[in-house]
Amino acid sequence: MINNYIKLALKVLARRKFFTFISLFGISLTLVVLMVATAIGDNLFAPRKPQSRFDRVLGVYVISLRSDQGSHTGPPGYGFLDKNLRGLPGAENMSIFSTISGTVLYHEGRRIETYIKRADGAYWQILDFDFVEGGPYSQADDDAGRFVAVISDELRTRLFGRNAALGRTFEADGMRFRVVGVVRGVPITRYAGFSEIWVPTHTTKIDNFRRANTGSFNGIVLAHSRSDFDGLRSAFAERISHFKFDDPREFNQLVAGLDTPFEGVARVMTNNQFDRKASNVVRTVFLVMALLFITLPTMNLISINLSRIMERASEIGVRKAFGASSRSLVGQFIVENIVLTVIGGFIGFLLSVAAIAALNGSGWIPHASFDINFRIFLWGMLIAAIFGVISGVWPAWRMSRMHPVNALRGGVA
Amino acid sequence: MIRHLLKLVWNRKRANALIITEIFLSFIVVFAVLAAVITFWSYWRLPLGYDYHDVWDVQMGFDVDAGSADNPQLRDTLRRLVAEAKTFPEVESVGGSNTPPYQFSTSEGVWRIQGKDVRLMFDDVTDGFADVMRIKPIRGRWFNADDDAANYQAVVVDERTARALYGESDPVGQKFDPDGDRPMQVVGVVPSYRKDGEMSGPHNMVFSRYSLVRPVGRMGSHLMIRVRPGTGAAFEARLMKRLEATAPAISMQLTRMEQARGFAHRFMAAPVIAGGVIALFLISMVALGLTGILWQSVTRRTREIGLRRAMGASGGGVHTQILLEVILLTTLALIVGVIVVWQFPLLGIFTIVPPAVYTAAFIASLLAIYAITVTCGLYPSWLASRLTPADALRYE
Repeated sequence: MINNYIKLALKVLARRKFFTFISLFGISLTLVVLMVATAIGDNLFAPRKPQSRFDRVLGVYVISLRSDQGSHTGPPGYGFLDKNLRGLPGAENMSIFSTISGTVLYHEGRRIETYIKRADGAYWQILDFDFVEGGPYSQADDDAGRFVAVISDELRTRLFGRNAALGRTFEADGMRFRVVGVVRGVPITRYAGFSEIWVPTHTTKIDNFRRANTGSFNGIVLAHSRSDFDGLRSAFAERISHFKFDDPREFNQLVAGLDTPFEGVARVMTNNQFDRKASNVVRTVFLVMALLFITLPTMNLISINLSRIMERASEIGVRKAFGASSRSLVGQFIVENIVLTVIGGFIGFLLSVAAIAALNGSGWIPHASFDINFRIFLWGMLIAAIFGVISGVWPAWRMSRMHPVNALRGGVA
Repeated sequence: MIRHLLKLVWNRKRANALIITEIFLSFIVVFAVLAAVITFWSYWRLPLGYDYHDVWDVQMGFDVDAGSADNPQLRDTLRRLVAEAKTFPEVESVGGSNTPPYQFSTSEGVWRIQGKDVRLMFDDVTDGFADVMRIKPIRGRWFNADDDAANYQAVVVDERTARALYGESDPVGQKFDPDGDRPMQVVGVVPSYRKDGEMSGPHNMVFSRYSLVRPVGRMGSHLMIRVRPGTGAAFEARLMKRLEATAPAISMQLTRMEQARGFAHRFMAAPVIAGGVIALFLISMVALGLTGILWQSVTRRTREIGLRRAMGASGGGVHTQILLEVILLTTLALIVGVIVVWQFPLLGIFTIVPPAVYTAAFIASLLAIYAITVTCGLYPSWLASRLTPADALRYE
């Protein structure tokens, strides 16, 4: 039966090419937008190299100091993290690293724009980089403030050409660093992992960062498993409840928390206004936006489906007159519609691959390289199928209620 | 005629309700995109208030607190940095700033001045800043070394701020902040200044002076350098080497303002471009859908049209009828749309979009929607007008 429906569906689609084109156009372009958005989300938040273990990682990415008069919201300082995040009971490991900052190298008369991140030794244990040459520096290197650096393979090419970089030196920020490791490049969408140069934290020029509560550092803790998240969060909350304010007249409230990557982004996007609930707020906003966005294509599809059914009124009339039940007619039409949306979904997927390639190639977001994987493909197909059911149900129901006499005469207005 | 058409539309209310809702939603989408585009376009045409060409911006790594007035060591370092940079023949002028153009860092607040609450944007700058940015005072003067000896904190306001605070009276010599610790006084007025560049809206700008020799004013963390046109990377490396040697304890990063400007524009245009692409595809989808539905409805109404032709209606008459039906449907949708969009000012849209832009976007989106729907109706109505009465009546 299903086979017959599908055969029939393909025949019908081939008969009215203009309508089929309009439907496919709408479905596939809608899916392109949704899939590109999903791909960006997946690239930002899914645990992928070098952040493979980030399904077990919680981080402090932004904190707020507040008072009745004003507030300061920004990345925490090294001092705050050192005091409140280190040695948290239940954590397997923890690391403190700086936010990314742009820098310019002047190397053999050339100007090279790049990025630098300062990180401790544990950073290399929690994140799993692919080393092309050498290896990471150690905690001992950091404690001693040795001028060693890990660089990305793209930067290696720009600095030293195709040659091996191990042991060679370059100057950054007025200091000369020796390359101890080269890693495969990281796209900018891996927030914690992205940089082109990594150097020990203690190579900074001034060491007043050690006490600062606010500044330009992030801290992450690695849990043994996700089930430890609640324990870590309450332990951290307990610790910061004893926070000592530098000047209680300036600020007297502290808002901070341990976040998953998505919660961290949500916290930053909402400027830390909702504390732990930020991720719910942001998720709701995105869902509402997505729903609003698919309203128009869905309605378009519904009205086209209606037109298409009206056109086939006499066919439906014949089937009804020969005793087809409403249910089987509805079933037939929904199958037809799902066939259509799945074809549209497939075209949409191909177009998404092209759109992502164009986005990567355009250089609009420097150092971004988005990709589409099987997971995103499945999401797209699921969205397409839901789309097909929603836009098929109502027209099919209208069709099934058509009176056979009217239907045979060519449908009612 | 119209009443008759209304009746026809009403007879197929279910299908038409869908089309009307689609057109209504399209109108909202077109309005949103046009409002954004027209806003940016109107901003783009406003004067900028400075010249970003050949300006290099050296950002120094010290935090805001370190820049407060009582830090003689830092002040002396800054003075030496400015002096060193000036020794190069490639350098035309050097100044200091805290929140320079295109950097997305702002210092702003609501101040109560002359009994009015005004939102002001601040920048802490040196005497040399005006030369670097090529800012020419239109009243009074820019800062100079004499201000070191004054018993007030000198400020320069832009034209917009002057109008907002002092109306038509002369701002020069006015007390700026009577309640502050140290009295502030306006010494000059410069043309309207838009810190975040071409794509940002007008705002009230106030420059506050800091000195490189006396403990006056809060120090900024940017060194602004105007170089001769065409100065390249080789000099940049030489300059940075000298600056780093002068202040070994401070991290420095040089960006060219042209580059920062490109980045800022990309950053601000990206959401509009993404929104525009999505809107374009939504609208084209709706347009195609509408064409298909009209086409379908014309073929289904063959007999009705045939009857009209047989009773003496001309082909043109049928053509007009179908088009008028489309226009009627659009109008019904737009009535709802107009009622909804009319409420936007109540929701505070004027804080983002100027009233003139709102009106322009409103009219433009009305016209655009009519143009789109009528275009969609052209082919189906032409098809209808070509039907001959004999064919039409025979059609079964």
